[in-house]
Amino acid sequence: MTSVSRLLSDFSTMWRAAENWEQFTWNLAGLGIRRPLATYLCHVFQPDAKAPLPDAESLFRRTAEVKVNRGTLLARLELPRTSLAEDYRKGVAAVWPRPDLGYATVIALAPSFVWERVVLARLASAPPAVSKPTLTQDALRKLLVAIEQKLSAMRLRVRKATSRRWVVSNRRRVLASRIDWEDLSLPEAFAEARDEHKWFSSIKFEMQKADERPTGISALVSRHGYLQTGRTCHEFFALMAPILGDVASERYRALSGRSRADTPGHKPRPLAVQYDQPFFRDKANNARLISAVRRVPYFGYTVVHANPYVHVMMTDYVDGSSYDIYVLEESRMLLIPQIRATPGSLDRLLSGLSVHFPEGRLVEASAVYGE
Amino acid sequence: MASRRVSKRVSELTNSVDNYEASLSALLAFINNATWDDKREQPRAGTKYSLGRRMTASSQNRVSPNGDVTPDAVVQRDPTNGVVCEVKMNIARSADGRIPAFRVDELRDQIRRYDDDLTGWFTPKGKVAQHDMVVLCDLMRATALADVLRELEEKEHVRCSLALVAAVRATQAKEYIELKKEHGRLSDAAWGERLRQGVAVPVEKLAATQLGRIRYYDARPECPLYTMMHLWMHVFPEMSAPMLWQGARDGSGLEATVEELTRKLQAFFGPTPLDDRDVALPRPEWVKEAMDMFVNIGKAEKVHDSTYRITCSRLRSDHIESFARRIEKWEKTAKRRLSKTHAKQGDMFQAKLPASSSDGADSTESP
Repeated sequence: MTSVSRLLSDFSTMWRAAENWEQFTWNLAGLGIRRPLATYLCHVFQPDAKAPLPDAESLFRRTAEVKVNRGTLLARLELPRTSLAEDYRKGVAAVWPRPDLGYATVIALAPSFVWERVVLARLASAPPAVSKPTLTQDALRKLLVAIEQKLSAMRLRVRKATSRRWVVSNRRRVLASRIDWEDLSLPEAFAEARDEHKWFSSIKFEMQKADERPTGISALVSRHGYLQTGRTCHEFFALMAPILGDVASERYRALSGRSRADTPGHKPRPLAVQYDQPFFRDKANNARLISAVRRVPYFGYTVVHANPYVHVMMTDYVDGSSYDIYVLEESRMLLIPQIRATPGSLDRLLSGLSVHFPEGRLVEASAVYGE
Repeated sequence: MASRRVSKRVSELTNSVDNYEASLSALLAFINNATWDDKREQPRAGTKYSLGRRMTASSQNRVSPNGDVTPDAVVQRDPTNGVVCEVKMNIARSADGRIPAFRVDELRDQIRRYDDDLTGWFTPKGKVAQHDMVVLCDLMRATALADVLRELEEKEHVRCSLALVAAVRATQAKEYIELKKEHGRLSDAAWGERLRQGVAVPVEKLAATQLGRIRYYDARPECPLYTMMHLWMHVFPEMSAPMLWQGARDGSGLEATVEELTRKLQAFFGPTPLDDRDVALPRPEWVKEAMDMFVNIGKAEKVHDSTYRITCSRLRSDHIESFARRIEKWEKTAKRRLSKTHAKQGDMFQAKLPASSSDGADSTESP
């Protein structure tokens, strides 16, 4: 048995032996994990408040690459045979429903490839059953600031950040990804991002003592709504996971209750995406928005009007949600949810758009225009 | 050359969708202005409006005594004063820019119908002391229409205040619809003067409040493509099981009746009827026309008279363009088939071709 297989087996044993979430995470913190494994954690929400929270069976449908063990809460993940070594193809994931908090926590011990190709891919195709809120730039900042505030006598330093921004290449504006290895405080990192008009895809941060001595504890937070650490530690579960839950819940609540089918008099509850600058003054950005609309996965689109104002209709073929998008103001985009609009679909739409288009601040449209 | 003709027809079809929305936005902008209290910067208390309200003419009516008339919109600004509005945003013009005679006759008829003591207002007796008539048009047609109205007023006595208001889209930091009175007078002189000076209605607020909800007024869309878009984008996916769209299997598809679809569109995209005088929009025949076009382009099949099975398949390209291309293809095939039939029959006359909207810029108006 390789050390990776042994670790995965220990994870499963701890899971079976644990009586509650705290006990499980406490035990897990003592597990000396090593590469290529890492611990991943995210929270998933159920759009229908009356329905039970999702379990492993519903999240990870049993296939050749997923074996669901011990009832429905633990899943053994394995990528089909690839050129990857065996240790890089195996992982284990568990789902802990937290009805008191309104979400289920997915925790996995797996190589990054397995996490992305199996867990994230399954979660992406699981809707409409579940939703894993994306973390916007603002949410990432809130999350990290909240973690820092909870850490008495410790500071967070941003050590690595992947970000996206528009760059001019061959006279064309294209969206470029960038990785920066840096050593910045949180305000510095976010101020730099604002100045350079970039938005983070993920941030790897390190905890530092007040006297700037490193603690050796680091973690990564992704805009895809998960946390990752290479070393399980109690802070990860006891401190970061609940804060991630709070931030994700806030986003989930902001996107909930938008279906016109459920509102009094079928009145729309629009959202506005606000930009700090008159972003749409440059009409070329209308075309860029339409180009981003075309690339949102699983969505169908219709461009009713492209210039000088934008009106696009979008439909989510995954769960039947639909929207109208308008750009009628230089610094704002208006999103009108139609007959059905689930939080999962709205999140997929907004995160899909932000892959190819700068992300704005999501605000309640009624706060801008009144009821 | 052929491909240019294809794109011209496709753009005609797609423009028809945009035109209908533009007319609707102008109408909503006018209603917004008519019901707005400038001093308090909020909607006027007690105002009511309706799109497509059935009003009853008096026995003195010159066109339809005691009959029903249905203006595009009626706005009751207070219990004594109302406005009847008729949309002429895309009324046809001849090459010299003038309004063709048959359209002038139609307009004269409408004015005669509405220039009456109409019943059906939102008052206990259904009457108001006086009402104005407003013709809403595109700025490009304002001069020609003003000439028509002037001539009409010279020839016959119009008792109600009659005004022509032009609407034009203006792009500044925000998108606006600018409304400007180009001819005539309104009984509320202050409001008339404000309109004469020109007012700008922000479209964004309209979209967030009314336009996001109301997509139909009492005028048949020029082309079924408009209703097809709303059905395909908003109604079919919502009515069907999500998995249907993940890949059509044999026999899979959404079965729906025209009545069901009409009810859905009326509930979510039609103006909310206030009482039984208000017409529920869109009308079932518009929906049937759209469903028949889905059948023509191979996206649905007719199960029974008003029951259709929609093929739930995901489209990857721009849906409006995709449907417009299919419609164009169907039109060409239908034309060819008709020509062949007529040739076989030795018909001397030119074959009747499928309806084309290329010349029908005025079809967004009510009949």
